[in-house]
Amino acid sequence: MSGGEVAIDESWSVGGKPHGGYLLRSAVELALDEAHPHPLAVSAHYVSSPDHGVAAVEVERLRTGRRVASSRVRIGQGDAVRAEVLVSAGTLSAADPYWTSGLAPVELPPVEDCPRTPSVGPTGMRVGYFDHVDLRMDPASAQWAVGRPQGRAEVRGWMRRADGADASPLDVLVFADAMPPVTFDLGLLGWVPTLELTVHVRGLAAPGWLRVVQRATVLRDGWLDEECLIWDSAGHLVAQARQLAGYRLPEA
Amino acid sequence: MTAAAPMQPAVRQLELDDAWAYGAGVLHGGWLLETVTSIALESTGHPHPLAVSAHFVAAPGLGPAVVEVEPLREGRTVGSLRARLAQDGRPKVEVLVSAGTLPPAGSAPFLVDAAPPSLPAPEACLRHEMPADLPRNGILEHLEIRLDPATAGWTAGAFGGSAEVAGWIRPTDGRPLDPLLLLTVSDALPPVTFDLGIAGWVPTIELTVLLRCVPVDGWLRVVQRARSVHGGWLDEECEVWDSAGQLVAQARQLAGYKQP
Repeated sequence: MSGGEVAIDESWSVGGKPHGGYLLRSAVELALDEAHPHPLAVSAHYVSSPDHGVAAVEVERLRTGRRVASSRVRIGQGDAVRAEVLVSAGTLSAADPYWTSGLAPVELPPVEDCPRTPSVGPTGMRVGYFDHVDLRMDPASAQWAVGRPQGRAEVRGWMRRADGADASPLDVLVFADAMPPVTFDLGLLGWVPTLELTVHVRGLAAPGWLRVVQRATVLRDGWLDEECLIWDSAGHLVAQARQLAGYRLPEA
Repeated sequence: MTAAAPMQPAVRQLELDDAWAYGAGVLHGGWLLETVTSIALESTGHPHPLAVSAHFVAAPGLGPAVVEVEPLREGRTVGSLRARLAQDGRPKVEVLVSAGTLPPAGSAPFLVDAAPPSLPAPEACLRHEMPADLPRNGILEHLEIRLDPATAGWTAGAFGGSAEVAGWIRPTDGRPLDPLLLLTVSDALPPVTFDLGIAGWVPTIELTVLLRCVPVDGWLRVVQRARSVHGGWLDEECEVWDSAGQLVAQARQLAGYKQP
């Protein structure tokens, strides 16, 4: 058992709550080692809502194999478990894939035609991580921000680190949980808490802007799935994520 | 639920037998996930798995095993648990379960942006059987799998190169469909790598299944596809639709392969 303490950087927070992707990144980092430097598959179940301050991260190495190191990571505050995370780590390749289904990267207008998503949203809520993650949404999928949801359950845009640095696999973990919820385009403006998030990081991202699309398949009984796909500037799929999250219908 | 459940870890001894195994004791990932999850659910007041994630740490063998369950939180709508299947003190499968109550069959979704795969009738599909020169596959003794001939050319040596396998699945042992069985079904089709001409074992390292509603009995339509085969790893995404046309499970796994 190893681990450490994470002092939660409030500049990432959303509406006064720590950002899930930021916490996930801080925890997963502690499960990596020299021979297994990259997260390959990360599964997080969010157990209770974290507060600001300090979180304890406990890492249990389950097995260290040649290709894969498996760990269980717990993010806790006091006696409460905030998130439980499983990490399979290894070494990612920057080579061309052996085979792909031919699924093309999501089509987007030129980045200069996509305005940057501000860290203060249309409802006045502060979404601090947009000071760290530079998101340029396709205006056609961001009409909800000006009161015109399109009912498409899809949001897409360009993403990179706000400091201009190239995205590491840990940054990609954050990006996989950084798009606004697709429910906004359905006119549901409430909070969409993630219950479960799995990210498969598939390759090292080439330098430059990443293309990100997030969509839902089914909204039913208060739960929706959101799939997030991320391609790099070379057109390679670098991450696939899916989450189960909660939504609420407005009171009738 | 009015009182908090006691947060006591539970320990269960069990014997892993070869009823659902392939060959001399290769245990099926989906079946292991169902086995561990069914034990984990005994430690919560919530009846159904909503989201289940497994990391396969090492391949378990036939014989005695221990499942330890640790409840993490018992909430009003969700119970969170972690569970571990271990043998000889070594973790083999580590599982996280978020449990709750699934909507009943027939309740109306708010939005569905997908359609079940279109398949020829079950009787026009190819019954999936092991070739005589390969070992038995226990899963085929419990599930009837009928493959869409359009995605099963590889069974006759003609590779489609589309990395998609689709077909019908139903239990043959008289067991009614339930959310737990969907965990096994989500990993029951032959690996899509066969369609790419990549032979050999495709060990799962991670498998997550989202359950979306209680299934109705009858044939399930199941489709599995890959998007990228890269650097020794591939994704396999699986959708399960029931006979009432409801999306009942969504799964994705990361698995290894050996490049030919």
